[in-house]
Amino acid sequence: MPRTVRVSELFWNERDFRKAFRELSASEQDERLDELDQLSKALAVCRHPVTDPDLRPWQPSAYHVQKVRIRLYEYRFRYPFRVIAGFIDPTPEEPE
Amino acid sequence: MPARSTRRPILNSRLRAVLARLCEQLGPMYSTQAVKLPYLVDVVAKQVLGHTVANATYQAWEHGVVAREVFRFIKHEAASDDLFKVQSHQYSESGQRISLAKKPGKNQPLTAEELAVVDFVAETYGHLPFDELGLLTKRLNTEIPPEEWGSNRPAALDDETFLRLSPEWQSLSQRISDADLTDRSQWSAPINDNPREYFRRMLNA
Repeated sequence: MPRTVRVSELFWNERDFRKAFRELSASEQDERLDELDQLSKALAVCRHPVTDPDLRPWQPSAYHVQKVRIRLYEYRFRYPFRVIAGFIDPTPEEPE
Repeated sequence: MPARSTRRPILNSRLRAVLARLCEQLGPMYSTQAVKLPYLVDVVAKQVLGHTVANATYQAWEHGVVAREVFRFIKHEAASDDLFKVQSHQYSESGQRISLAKKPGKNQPLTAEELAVVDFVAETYGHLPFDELGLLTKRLNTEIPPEEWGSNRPAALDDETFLRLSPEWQSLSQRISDADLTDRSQWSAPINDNPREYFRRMLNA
């Protein structure tokens, strides 16, 4: 069964990032959206956040920063995107 | 005739020249700066010039990336090198201070472009507080888990490392570090059905 994918909405309002995205041509914007779509679908079903072959196009690696205790992984995109995905194991109280 | 020492110096001539140039630009440096700034020199040089300049061994120590040879040099050899002066700071956590004892000779091995990279690093990162400098080198190596800082694991030195030096990336890492990522009130509804539509909407595309 695919895992639920949600997006943290804390980081969407980065002004430089939004400006960089707006400056892409319409077809480049479409390509980035397609790629985000593909990655989201791959993350929903991957067997492992780094070693799953279907994630290879995004060169996954662990992503460690201070104080964060959940497992984070980094996926490389073309400019200006980077995706940092957190994997949180389900619990009986929060199954998704 | 007295036997001459055949022991190889700890610093190669290029790393010695980098250290001297950093001292020239910054004045006396604490050992914390002296062991970390050569790493940033090589991260920038590799990207800008296509090759490293200082060629040290960069390792993940407890408080960030350290050029191992510089640490050993300050500890064991700098006192007998007439180019440098090392002073202990009894009441400082940052250890010793290294400075130039004399002006470096004209025949140092770095090119003008290489010196410009060292100067850039001195100007941009040479005045950061020590803990910030250590954190910055850690944010260049996000693959390394917290428990491996202090393990002497090799630090990264590739294109990716240079990208992570950008202020935007550093700031994002800091914001991720400060955020409560488990706060579900900040999460979107599940996007599994149509991720593309979600991203299109969020980006006003």
